[in-house]
Amino acid sequence: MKFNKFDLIIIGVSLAIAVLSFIPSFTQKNYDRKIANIIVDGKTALKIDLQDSKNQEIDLDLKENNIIMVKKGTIGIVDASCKDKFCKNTGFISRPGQSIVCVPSRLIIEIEGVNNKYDAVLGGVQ
Amino acid sequence: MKTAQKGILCAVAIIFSYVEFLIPIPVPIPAFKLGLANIAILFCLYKFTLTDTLLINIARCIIVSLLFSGINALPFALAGGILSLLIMWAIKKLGKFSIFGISVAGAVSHNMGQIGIAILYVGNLSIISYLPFLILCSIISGILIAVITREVLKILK
Repeated sequence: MKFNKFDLIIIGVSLAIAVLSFIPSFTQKNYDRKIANIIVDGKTALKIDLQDSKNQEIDLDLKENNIIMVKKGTIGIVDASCKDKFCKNTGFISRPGQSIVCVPSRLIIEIEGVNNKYDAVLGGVQ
Repeated sequence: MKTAQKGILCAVAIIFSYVEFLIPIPVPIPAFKLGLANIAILFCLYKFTLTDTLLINIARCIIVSLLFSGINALPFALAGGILSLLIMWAIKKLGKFSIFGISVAGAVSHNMGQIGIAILYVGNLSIISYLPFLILCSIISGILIAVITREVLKILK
């Protein structure tokens, strides 16, 4: 029943999984533009160019009535009808790779970095 | 294992789950829980068989989701609960690991099971970015649960 060296292996493997799943957040480079993808049910519902867009509130009529807010080049959720307010507590995000999740609404907002040469393809607000 | 013992252990697990709803944990990660119910599950795994523990765990998940967390949370609770129990059982079966390793493996795999279901449900991989924080916290809570369960096992020999 005493802590032994084999237990350290389990803690080591767990830490390794933690580090591995952290890698995608580190590999983000600098981008010219930042696009917020609002994904509902696995499909992109809205793309917002965070540099160009004015401050606005977005209500997509989601299951948990999440109110999405765009403010000074950042995006966040300011209110939801659920109890734990997981999405609201994530705060406002603006760096590529960051994301906000609301599992009950099947909602994800993720920031995507785009370089200017692709501008013609992606455009601004769609 | 007698039916009455199953009932008692299941009740203890449900009470622990309820207590967790009442205590806010001072960790800035939403959705993180201590996993107190795992004390009852781990205890049962040491004293009785895998089948008994599995039954108790599934009953606990269903009752807790009906009473407190809502039926929508049931798939998440079941995925985490069953995966972590099977992992704990397999690691215990290997015989090399103490209750600390078993408890930590259970806590970590519980989170991985839930994140896995969340990825399937939302249809996007970016939820994985929550996993590092959840794993770090569950290593600590796993050790804590192991200490408590070890003392309970000593007393109720």
